[in-house]
Amino acid sequence: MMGYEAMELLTTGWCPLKCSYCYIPKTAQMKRLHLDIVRRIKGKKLLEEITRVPGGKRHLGFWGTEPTLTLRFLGEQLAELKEICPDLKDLSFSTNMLIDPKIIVDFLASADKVGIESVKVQVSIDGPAFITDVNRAPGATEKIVENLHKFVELLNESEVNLKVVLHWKATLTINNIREMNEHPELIHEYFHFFNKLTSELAQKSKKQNLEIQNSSGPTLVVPGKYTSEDGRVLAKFFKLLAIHKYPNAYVYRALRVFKYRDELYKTRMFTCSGGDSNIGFDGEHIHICHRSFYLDRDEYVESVLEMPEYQNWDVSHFKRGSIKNIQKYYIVEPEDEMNLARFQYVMRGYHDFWKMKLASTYAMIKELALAGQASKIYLENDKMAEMLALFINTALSCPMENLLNTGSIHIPPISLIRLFGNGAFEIIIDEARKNVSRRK
Amino acid sequence: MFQEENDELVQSFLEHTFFRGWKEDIPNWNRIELNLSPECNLDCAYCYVAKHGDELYPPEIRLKGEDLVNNAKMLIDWLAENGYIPDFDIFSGEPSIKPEFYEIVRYIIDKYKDFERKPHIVVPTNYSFLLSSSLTKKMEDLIQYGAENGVRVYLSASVDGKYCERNRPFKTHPAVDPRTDEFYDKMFAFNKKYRYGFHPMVYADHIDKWKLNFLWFQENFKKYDIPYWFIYLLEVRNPEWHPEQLREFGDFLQFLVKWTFHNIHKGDKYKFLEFLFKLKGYNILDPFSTVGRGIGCAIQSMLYVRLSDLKIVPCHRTSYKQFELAEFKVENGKIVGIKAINPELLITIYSFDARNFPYCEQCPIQNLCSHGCLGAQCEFTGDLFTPFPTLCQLELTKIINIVKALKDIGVLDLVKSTVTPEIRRDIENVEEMLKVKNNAIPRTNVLPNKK
Repeated sequence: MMGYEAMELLTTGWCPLKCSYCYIPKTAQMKRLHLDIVRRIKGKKLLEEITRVPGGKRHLGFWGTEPTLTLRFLGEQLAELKEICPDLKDLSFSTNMLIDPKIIVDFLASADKVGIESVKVQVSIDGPAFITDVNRAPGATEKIVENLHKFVELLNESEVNLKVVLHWKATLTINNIREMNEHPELIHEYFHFFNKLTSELAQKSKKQNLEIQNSSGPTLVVPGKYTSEDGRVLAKFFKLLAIHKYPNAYVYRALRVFKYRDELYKTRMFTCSGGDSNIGFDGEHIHICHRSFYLDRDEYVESVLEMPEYQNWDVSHFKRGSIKNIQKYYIVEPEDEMNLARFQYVMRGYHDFWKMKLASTYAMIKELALAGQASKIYLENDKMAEMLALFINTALSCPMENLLNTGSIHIPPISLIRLFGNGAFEIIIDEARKNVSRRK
Repeated sequence: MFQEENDELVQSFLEHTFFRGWKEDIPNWNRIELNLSPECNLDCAYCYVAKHGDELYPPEIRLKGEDLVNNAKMLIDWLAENGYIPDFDIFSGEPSIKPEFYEIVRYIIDKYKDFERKPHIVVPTNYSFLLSSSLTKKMEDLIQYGAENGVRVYLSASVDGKYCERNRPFKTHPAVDPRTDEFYDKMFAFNKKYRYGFHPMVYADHIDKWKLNFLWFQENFKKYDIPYWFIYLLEVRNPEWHPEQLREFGDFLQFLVKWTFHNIHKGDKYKFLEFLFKLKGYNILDPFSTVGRGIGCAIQSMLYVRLSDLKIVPCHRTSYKQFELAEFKVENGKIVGIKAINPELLITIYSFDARNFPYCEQCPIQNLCSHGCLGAQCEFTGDLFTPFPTLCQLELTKIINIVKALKDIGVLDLVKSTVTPEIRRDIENVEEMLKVKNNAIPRTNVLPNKK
């Protein structure tokens, strides 16, 4: 049986925020779920449960909603966790930083005591108030910045010596992008915000072991339901980034393929690790990754369907039978060896082979171009179509979203092709080429 | 806007594939299947409808009587009004026991009788209508009505044969099989009269009876003066084949090759080649021809419509909720367009090449293999495109035994000189496998005996 090196653990089930792009529809059932999870963690059940999953577990991530809600309880059990997982080196989680940062610093101190080597803290901050406050909650930006300063101050005062990596996760909606396209000065404001924040925190930090990464290159809400017009909006935005020489996360992702092109035969180097070296685990079942947490809970799925305001979230998957399919085949019990072997066999099909997904994406690109929903260049230039197919299946690789949207782990959502296939990818390739040409 | 673009995309795709194929009679894009209902009077051991019928054709959507016929009429009207002349497959659990079937086929005949080019109508049926004189008459009247109006109605006999029919018991009386010799006599006489073929399924259970069963078919073909090659054998590509059954399957294939070569062609290699390539080698013996699409089965050449809800699905075995591709939009009792549901899967289904499936991508017999049934793959692995290991064993068994038998009768080199380079390469891969197998030290000599 194949073991796993990394695991995403379900450690929370509720979130105080209702971010506009969150992929988890929020219902009252989530509070109940959260309480169950808290009970499990407090009763040390989670520790027992982790041992059920095969593998070395060198990296653990805390997932669900807002992980800091249970960080205190987890911190109290880190010594036992390290005993159960002796190879454990790194921990990671993503936070909205709207809670008291002392919770995180206390957790870091506990992790340091038991010999964890590093903790990665991803902060969900989308940019200045004109973005974050709109996407997340009014006043969120100010509070996050305040808490980040407090976090660094508390860390300075602490005796934490393990490596702490702090970085930003900025997610933009198409409306955010539209606004910046219409008022390009906002793009400068966006990057200035992150530069200022990063440099202020770096100046404040007295800790050698704190690494603050200015990961300001925006990421997009994906897969979304994008139209070709959205694709043109994105292309304009990428053009502006290129003109002003601002970082573009997707150029870096594309560059990875260029850089390691001699390794392309190792498909798994370029796919997302979900269901490969990494899995999601909710205490009962193995998932491809965190994306399907809660989906095996019928009461939760039912509650989503009953939500009066369900239009706020994309619940089309819940109605298309995809959830049943996922429950049956892609959420498995660790002890069910036959089923786990089947799951691993199918997932290896995704991580070890290229042709099915590339051919399927290529066909979609051609059809979109033929229907006038992607740039004509993809009709005229087969190589560009191949490159875009490769980009979609590497830079945006997500077997779980594929499954939810198309019913197969091998077929990416067409929305992604519309988003990148209307000019944006052409700019990405131009920018990547400039970088490649500088290589010796 | 997102939905509108998806609708336009699906429309654009269908315009240059099926819609064009139906207008211009382009092979591989020229068929439509109307799936009436999953109801059947048999309970076949290998049938997916018996196991998954409620998911494939949910009970809550199933229409009957006038409602079902009206849906069919709407669709046929829409096809004819647009100048589309597809060949029709009328599919069901068992169509002949449904009164709607006769009405729908008559409607197709009426609709197209004045068209310059006429469609064909194909009906796979278990022939249980022959057990009732009134149903037999109804069926013959229908065939006759089609013939009078220039529309050929083809029946295809889903009958496994006297010695394997135990895999297909009747639902209502499983212990007593009414398919006596008299029934089979009627069946052969019926097919002789209308020149219809037979398509029995070669299944794991009772595979040891298949040699006898095949000879029984041939005996009756002779008796009723039916060509010996009027039988289309297809292995059931389900996961349940175990090693002993695979061995029997391989023996049967070798028998098929050698029996045909010696008894039919009297050792004439060129006549045998003609049988293999022109007459399609009972289907099962011809993995060497290419079909001009990405897989041998009809999934890419037929638009499958579940008649009760007018949904377009990949095929009748994959019509699960999550795989619905599109649906016909109806306004005021008329079809007015097509709404996309899963355009990604729709484009993939009609464009994939099975040689690109995961695992198949690097397989040494990828060009010879029939590849898996997408429905069976999905039922077993949870993914439409991932073959399961026993399928690979089944197909490898098939190819190895056919190649070995052709070599034994001295025809293999002629076959290799006829086929495409890719297929020749795969045959050579199999020859290598056979060499390794022949040179291998028997396991019993290197392993201690197990008690």
